[in-house]
Amino acid sequence: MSTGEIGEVNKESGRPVGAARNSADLKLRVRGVVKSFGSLRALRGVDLDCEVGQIHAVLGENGAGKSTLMSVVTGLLAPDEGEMFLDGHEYRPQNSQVAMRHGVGMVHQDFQLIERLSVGENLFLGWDGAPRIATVQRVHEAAAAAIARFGFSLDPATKVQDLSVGEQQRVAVVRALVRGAKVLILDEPTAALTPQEVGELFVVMRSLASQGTTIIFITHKLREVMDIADHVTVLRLGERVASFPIGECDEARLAREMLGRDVVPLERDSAEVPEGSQVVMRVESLHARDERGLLAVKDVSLQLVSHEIVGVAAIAGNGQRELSEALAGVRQVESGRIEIDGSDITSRSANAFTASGIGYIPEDRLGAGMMLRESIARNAIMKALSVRSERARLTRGFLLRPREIENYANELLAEGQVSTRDAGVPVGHLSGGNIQRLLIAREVRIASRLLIAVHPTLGLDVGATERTWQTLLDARGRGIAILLISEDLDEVLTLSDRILVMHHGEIVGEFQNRTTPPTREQLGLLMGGATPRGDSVGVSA
Amino acid sequence: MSTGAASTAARQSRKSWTVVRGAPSPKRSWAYRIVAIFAVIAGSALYLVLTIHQPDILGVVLRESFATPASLDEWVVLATPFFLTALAVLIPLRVGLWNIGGEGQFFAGAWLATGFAFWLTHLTGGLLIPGMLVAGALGGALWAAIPTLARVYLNVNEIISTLMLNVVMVFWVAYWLVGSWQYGGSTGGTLQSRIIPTQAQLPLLHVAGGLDSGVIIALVLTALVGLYLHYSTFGYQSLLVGSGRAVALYTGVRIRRVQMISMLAAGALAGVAGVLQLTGNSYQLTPGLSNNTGYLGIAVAILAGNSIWGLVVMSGLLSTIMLVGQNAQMYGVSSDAPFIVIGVLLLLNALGDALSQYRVMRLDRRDVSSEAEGDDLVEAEGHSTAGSGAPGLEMVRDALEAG
Amino acid sequence: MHTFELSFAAALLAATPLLLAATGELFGEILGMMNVGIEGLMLMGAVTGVIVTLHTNSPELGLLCGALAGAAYLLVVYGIPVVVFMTEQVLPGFAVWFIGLGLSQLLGNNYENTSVSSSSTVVGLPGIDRIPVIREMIGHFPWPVYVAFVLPFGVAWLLGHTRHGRNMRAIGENPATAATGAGIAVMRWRLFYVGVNGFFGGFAGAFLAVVAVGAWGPDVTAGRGFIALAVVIFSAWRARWLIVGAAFFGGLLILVELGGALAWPIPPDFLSMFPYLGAVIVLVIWSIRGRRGELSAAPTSLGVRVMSRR
Repeated sequence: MSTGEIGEVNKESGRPVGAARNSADLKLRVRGVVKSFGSLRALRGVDLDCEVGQIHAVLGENGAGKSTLMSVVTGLLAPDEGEMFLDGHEYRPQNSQVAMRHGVGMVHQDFQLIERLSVGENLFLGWDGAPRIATVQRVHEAAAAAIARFGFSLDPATKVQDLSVGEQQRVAVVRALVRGAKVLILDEPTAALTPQEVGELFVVMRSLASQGTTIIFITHKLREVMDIADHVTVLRLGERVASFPIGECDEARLAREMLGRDVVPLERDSAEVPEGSQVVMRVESLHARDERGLLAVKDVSLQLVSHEIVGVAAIAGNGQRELSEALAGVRQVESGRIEIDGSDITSRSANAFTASGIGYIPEDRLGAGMMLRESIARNAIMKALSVRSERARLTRGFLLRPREIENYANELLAEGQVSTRDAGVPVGHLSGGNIQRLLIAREVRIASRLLIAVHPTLGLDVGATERTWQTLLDARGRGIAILLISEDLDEVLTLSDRILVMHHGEIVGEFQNRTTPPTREQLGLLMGGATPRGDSVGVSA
Repeated sequence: MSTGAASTAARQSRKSWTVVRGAPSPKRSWAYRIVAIFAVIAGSALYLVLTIHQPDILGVVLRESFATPASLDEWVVLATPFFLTALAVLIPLRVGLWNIGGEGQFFAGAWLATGFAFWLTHLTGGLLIPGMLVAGALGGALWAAIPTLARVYLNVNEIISTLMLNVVMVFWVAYWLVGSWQYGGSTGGTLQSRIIPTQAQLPLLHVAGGLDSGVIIALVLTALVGLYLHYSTFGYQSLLVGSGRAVALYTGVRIRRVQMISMLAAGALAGVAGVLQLTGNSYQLTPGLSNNTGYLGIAVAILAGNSIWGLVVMSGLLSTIMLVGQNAQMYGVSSDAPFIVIGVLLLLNALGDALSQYRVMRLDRRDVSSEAEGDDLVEAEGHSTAGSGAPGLEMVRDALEAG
Repeated sequence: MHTFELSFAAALLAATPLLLAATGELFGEILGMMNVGIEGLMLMGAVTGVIVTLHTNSPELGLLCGALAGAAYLLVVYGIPVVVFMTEQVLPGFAVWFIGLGLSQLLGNNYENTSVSSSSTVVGLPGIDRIPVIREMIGHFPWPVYVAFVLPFGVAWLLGHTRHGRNMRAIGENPATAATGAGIAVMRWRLFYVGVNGFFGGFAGAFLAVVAVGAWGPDVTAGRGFIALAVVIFSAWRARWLIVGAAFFGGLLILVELGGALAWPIPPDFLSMFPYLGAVIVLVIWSIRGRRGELSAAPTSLGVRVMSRR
């Protein structure tokens, strides 16, 4: 595979790789790593060079191989080919503990903390350096000392489940530092953070880097790379396609490298919402609780109108998931009123919502939206049996009609352009993209009045994303009201006619995206809970 | 399982064998199951030969089990309760509940039916047996209702509660066998009830081995349940509930209702099994009436792999094991030896199910594009990937052992 | 009041195997593994214990071999499928029960109803002979009784005061996170504690047959394995509460003899039901309290199939 000697010219960028650098300064060197899962080649000979005290961004789309590469570096996966060097010595971790002993630590996207244990207990779990015999109080004292040593402020006695997302992340960072991490890998660390918390994280990253910690920052957000990284390596389809210092690139360049082509703006019919649109759903002062019994949706009132896409912009965990579930009848409502076409369906089950013509693309597609062990045909009718007209076709009395069900499934397969042998295949055997297309086709089919779409393009590649967007726009063209919930601001800004901003379960802002589109900064501030007139976001670069 | 070897091989040659973890495959699972069954049969045969080690006695055992006019009858009689007690496990399993209480529900049914026969002996013969069947179904369903209500409304672990209630029911039956129902009046020494009246006894189909008409009732019920599970909207709803809470909430199916109905139906079927045993061939209530069929039904249901046809076949298999065991018992084979056979079968079956997620593939790493084969690699367990939202490369990280 | 002292002693003796088996099961459950087949495990320990004792005339050796046999048995029938092959937990639990039932009878066929002497295991607590009533109640017991009642304190200390115990709890909370996040070798830990579970379960069975009953019979356990399961639930996964649970259920177990001795007007079959009925009632009460958030010590991953090999 590619040897990637220092001074080699990168074919894509035309710039020398790591020019004027001495290989002895390199903290971590990865050379020609190949990793396959069955016939899927996740990494096809990847190189990576990180210096001491550098913030090194690894940029790539979903499926580009970022996580696989980091699993190799942290010993979770053994590479098929290739070698790694740490401080110039060969480095071959058999598992994450060995990696940790070499000073390579990881902060996972979901933090990997035990929720019901305290911060202090989590810091010391599974670590040989923790005191063998100690009361909880002593563990917490030791933890407090460690937290202070690294300049954080966290209460070691708090249970992790009671912390905010940002605090949980700090626990995971301190856990890696306590164990002597000199290379700290942060996997998509900003995904669930408010802009303010992102700012705080960046301050922490910069301070750690200045103390000599090498930070590998995995992300797909171009702006954050430009804001914080010293150097960026771009992965696409398991290959390193570019690597350069941050001063030598810009966002457009990075986007091109990451996607493999220029970004084409989506063409959409720019028609205004037609005059004759009717109100499809009316929601009045809705309150709903989350799994932990906390009020997640607070006093939300809104109207959804036919021919209109309403986007909801919010940072993960601000009640948008609970709102979508309440509006689809999946989550019980604490108080308030939901009307569809003028009739009250507040306390009815999801069954009744489906019967009223509401389609729902849930966040948890594989767990809730599909029965992976069952055939495509059986998954195809999950919702249709609740819709009177479809039910008449698919059943006779209380008996199912297998042939009609199969036809129905085949129609969905055609509409969703799902490639598979036949409708008897278990859904679990389909690829993720195919499952998602099938689910979207199923929900669009029954959504005669309203479609609620949560992160509809998460995990899809660029082509599939554009097809999905087109599907949503077509549905809008047919007069269906659409509620689009997404963490991807670009998606919300591209598709929405109207944008609602949620923070802490409340709607804190509304924009007519066609006439007075908001800036990302405006949205970001509102999403972070700032008042509309606040001006500075604490992002340091 | 180990990728160490696979990755070493990959370094030397581009073509290699790899173990891939994917969706559990029913086909592979059945293949493992059949291998397990043959392995267990071979093992049991070896054990029989070693224990009896006299060819002529062994011949007698086998003849008595398979080749006398009575042997077929006995085989069917032994299989009859298995159909129903296995359904009593299979139906709740479809909605995600473990009904370990088949044994207790069996006795609850048999007890109430015995009472019915003793108290209402005067009902004309034509009504007495149907009445006993209804009473048995009711008894089983009521006994199942306790753990079901506790589970559905209070989230009490149904595995443990049904297990405990089995023992309670056995003592309850024993209590009645010491009193007025006792054989030979309350002074009799043995723990068995009086014989039920003749009009409460099912007619025999075949006299040689005492084949009673209960098997017809059992088979009709099995067929009805099969139809209901696979072709009715209610069967489809139980599929939704059994696929997990998230799916059930998403589709709006009424979880509690479906779980209640499934458990009560299970209890009723186990109760009917008790009645058939009572009216079909024992004609009296005894503590040994069930012959452990309530527990063995669990094994049948598991080995059946969620299929009604499988359930019929596996009932026959277990019946064979029990029959050979019974006949061999007279020649020094332990009466509990069939339990070993069944336990090992269960164990191998569980291993086979786990292994069915893996498959060995021969790969040419250069030819195959990542898109085409992605289908095979998707980690299929909803729980492990729920919410990740990004099936694909990230999802197969643990497709193989890290080593 | 002689009856009281005698029944107290009988209850203590009845509680001992429950306590030993429940302590073993607690180890497994703390790491997220529920074994419903304790009954079969105890039978294997019982038959091994009796056979070894009869051949060596040493009840100590019998108890040890019963415990070791239990560990080996549980590792093979439960540990390897559940931990290594990542099967779900109920069926291997049943296999433990069924195979134990059949195999123990097979092995013990020739030893049935041969009585075993275990008088050598009885020890007197030093200095206790001078205290009148207490002397009868707790003064002279086989040493495993004392071991069983001290053991939970050790377990509580292990779980609450040591790094090792905290790691155990982390595994029971979330095995995948304990492995990836905290870097614990989860599979090895789980296998080890299946062995520990088997050791105490086997010890419990051996104690029951060799010491408490003094003979092997296929019905020697008579459902005690299931009651041990109930004891763990009664304790709400707090080690010291195992003692209370075992004493409670041990008391219920001797009600039959007590009722017979005192000519109670309650039918003996009803008295025999009480431990099992009690277990169901305890389950229900605990669930109601659990819903109010009062008790939530059950390990989060208890009974959950592990899907990821990390």
